[in-house]
Amino acid sequence: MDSYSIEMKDIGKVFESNRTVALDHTNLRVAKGSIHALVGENGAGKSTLMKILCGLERKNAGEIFIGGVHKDIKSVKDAYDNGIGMVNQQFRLIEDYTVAENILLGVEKINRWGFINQRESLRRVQALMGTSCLSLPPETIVSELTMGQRQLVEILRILNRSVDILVLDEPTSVLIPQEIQRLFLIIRELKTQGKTIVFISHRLEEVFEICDRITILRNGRDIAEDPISGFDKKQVSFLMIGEYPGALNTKRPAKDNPVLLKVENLSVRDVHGKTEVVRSANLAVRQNEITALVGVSNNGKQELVEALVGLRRVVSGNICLRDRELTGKTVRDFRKAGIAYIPEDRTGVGASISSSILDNIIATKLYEIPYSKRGWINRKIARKNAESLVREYRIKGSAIQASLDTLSGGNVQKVILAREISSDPSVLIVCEPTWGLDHRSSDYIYKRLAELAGSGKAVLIVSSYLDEVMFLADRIFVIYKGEIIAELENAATLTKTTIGELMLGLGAPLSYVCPSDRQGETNRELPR
Amino acid sequence: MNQFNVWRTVFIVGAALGFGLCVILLTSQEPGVAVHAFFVGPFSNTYFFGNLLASAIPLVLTGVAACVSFSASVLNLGLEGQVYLGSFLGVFLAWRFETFPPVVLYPFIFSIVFCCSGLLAALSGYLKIKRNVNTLISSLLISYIAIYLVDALIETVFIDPNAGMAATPYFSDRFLFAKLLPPSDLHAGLFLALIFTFSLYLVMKKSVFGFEIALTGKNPTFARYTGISVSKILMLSMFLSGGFAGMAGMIDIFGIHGRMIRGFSNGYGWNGIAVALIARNQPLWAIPSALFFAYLENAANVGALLSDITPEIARTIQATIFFTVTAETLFSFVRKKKGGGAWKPSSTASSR
Ligand SMILES: Nc1ncnc2c1ncn2[C@@H]1O[C@H](COP(=O)(O)OP(=O)(O)OP(=O)(O)O)[C@@H](O)[C@H]1O
Ligand SMILES: [Mg+2]
Repeated sequence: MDSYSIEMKDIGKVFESNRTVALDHTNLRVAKGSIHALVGENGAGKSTLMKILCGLERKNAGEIFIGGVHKDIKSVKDAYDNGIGMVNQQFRLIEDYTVAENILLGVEKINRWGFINQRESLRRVQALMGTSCLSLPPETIVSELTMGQRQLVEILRILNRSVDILVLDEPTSVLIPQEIQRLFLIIRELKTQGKTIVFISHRLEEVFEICDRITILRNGRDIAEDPISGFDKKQVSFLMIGEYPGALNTKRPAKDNPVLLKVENLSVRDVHGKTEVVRSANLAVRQNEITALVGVSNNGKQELVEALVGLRRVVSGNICLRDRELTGKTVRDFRKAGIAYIPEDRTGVGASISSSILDNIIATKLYEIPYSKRGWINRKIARKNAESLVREYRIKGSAIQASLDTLSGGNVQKVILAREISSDPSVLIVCEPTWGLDHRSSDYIYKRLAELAGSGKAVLIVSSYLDEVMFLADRIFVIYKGEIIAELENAATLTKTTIGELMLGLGAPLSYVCPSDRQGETNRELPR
Repeated sequence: MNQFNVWRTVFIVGAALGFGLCVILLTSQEPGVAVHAFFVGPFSNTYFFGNLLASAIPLVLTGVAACVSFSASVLNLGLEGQVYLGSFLGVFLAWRFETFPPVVLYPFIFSIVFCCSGLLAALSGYLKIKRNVNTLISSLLISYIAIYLVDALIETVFIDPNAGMAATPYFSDRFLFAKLLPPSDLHAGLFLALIFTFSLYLVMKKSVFGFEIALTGKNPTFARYTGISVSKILMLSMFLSGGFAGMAGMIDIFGIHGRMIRGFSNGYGWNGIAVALIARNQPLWAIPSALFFAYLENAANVGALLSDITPEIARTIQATIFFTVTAETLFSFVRKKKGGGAWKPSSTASSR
């Protein structure tokens, strides 16, 4: 073995701010021209290791060899000069810039007057999208994109740099299956060009699908490095967490459940207030059930959800929780009535990344009696609550006073999930419940969602991960071009293909199919 | 403030004083006397020291005023105008209701001045919400309008022809605050400033309202998501900021001047912003920060009195501080790049 593209030896990293040892004599060797998986639980140190490779963090100890040559990578520019590029887990996009501007950031073609050549830029971006088969509207402002689209912008940006070593930190967690397949095509193509790829993901089926070799991290140490063919999924998850995952049971008694949250003829406009992106939607979220809302992005899914939590103005129609009319009420009223919401844009909308864990956890609870009295916060109770949630949800990192940006990606997710689920809502609306979570945490979240739904409450999940939808949901609504085109019961006869076709508007116009046999439901399982 | 910020502040203060020292050494004929006068002078007797404390009072309040608006990330740059309007209104009301006993008059004047200056600032907040006008610009422009209007009033309707300058007549000296350290200017307004600062500290630190202000400042989208009415918070924090600025002017008038003098408050607002920057928007830290600024001002004055340096030296030092503090981004950048120092190779994974 002589031609390692990346060789990281005995890397050590301590975060002084919270005295965390993130990496402890960690080694990583990636063969040239291979696709290498880096896996581990939330907070294992995957992102930190890769940030060190890409000059975003400084190591405290250890050595890095690129193509066999000792290198000292001090900045992102150093990394680029060595042919290393990274797609970060946390997006690094300028939200007010267009897609094209973000992709070309730093490598713009400048004409002789010192201005950016707009037409040339556009042409380059379009060519890039053409060759990679990832297309996006190049002149859209990034803040208007969905999370999946933002991820594609990040990927395109790195592809444009034509680096030799490509690090992809959880690129698939926010993508839909079709996009993931396209990304895999690109990755394989890059491999045939002799490029080296480091791939981080929590979904083992993806790792097994495209990777050649695997390195497993646990608590900042590499505990295994081998060709992937030597493992099966069970072994990998055992090595990651040090124990076998328990069986997961999310079954609830199937009954004719009463409707908790009822949406009638709801119409909603887009951000500019011009076009109606949701038209006369009807939706019923039932007690004791997990309901799912699925749809391809930009089909009004996001806008509908925002209307359901009071964040977006409704043009016409009603939203009722039990018998209470909520249409036109403020966000506070929605929350008081018992609606909790976990948004897709976790760090932009669902959290304040520069605030502490504590502040993020109490931000929505502050208005209830034990947490505050007559306008004064009871810090002691708030702290207790935050501490118990940190323990309960295994939020790994530091004290509750630490700010959110010192947590690993998955742990940030957990803070938000913990806050909303623990507020004991009547209806919990959760977008992409398990984004960025490792297996153990996903299972825990599934369990909590099922418990919530089992205790007379209701859950509405909005997910692009159809396996998850099929696994969890009792009832599935499909939204297409702003209209709810189908309501399906999750019976044994229902297949992913059916849902997928409906989402693309390809299915027969079968409004409100309700197959009523539910005998097959014990077969529901996640592909792992 | 965490440890890093404390060191950063110490560095800034040290650098500024060091710079001042250099300027003195370069410009003075008798550097020994000048340096002594500058660094020790303000503490050499009760008169100088009392004046130092007295000039810190308005700065504490404008500093606190800036803290509130900066915490909510709405930049109130109109403090000057709000200070000025507050002072003028205070004088006007003290005249108008001359016959009232002070106990009745104080709360009355205080609330009116607070509200009016507050509303002046809240106007920028309103423009921001309704028309999306940048508060930084609107507050600055509105403040200039207020300053010139008040100036016009002082020089026409309310001028005291015998004063020999653009000033109004004195109001009844029954209303002046008690002096604490005669013959210096130090007055009972000191306690008011402390009370205001401490209450704001409590509100910011312990109340739901303070939490809402800070959260709105950090991520307004998230604040909206949690159910906070972001526009209400913006308006209210501008209002509070303006109110505190008005108090700063009024307390200075009632403690020292006893009448409205054109341009008397020159710089209170701007220095308040610098005070807040050094205090990193923490109300309690505005106190030492304001004291430092007051010290600079007084040291330069005392130095000019006892030796051959000019009072402008204080300006140069303040300017240095302004630059250093606003280079904050540079500091955080340095901190990012620095990386941790001590790496202890650990072989026990159990400690984690
Ligand atoms: N900037 C930081 N300051 C302090 N601690 C940090 C910082 N960044 C990461 N950490 C800590 O380092 C550890 C490893 O974090 P890292 O982001 O590498 O995890 P990860 O393996 O990428 O996890 P995930 O799957 O959740 O993304 C965590 O315990 C985290 O709290
Ligand atoms: Mg990570």
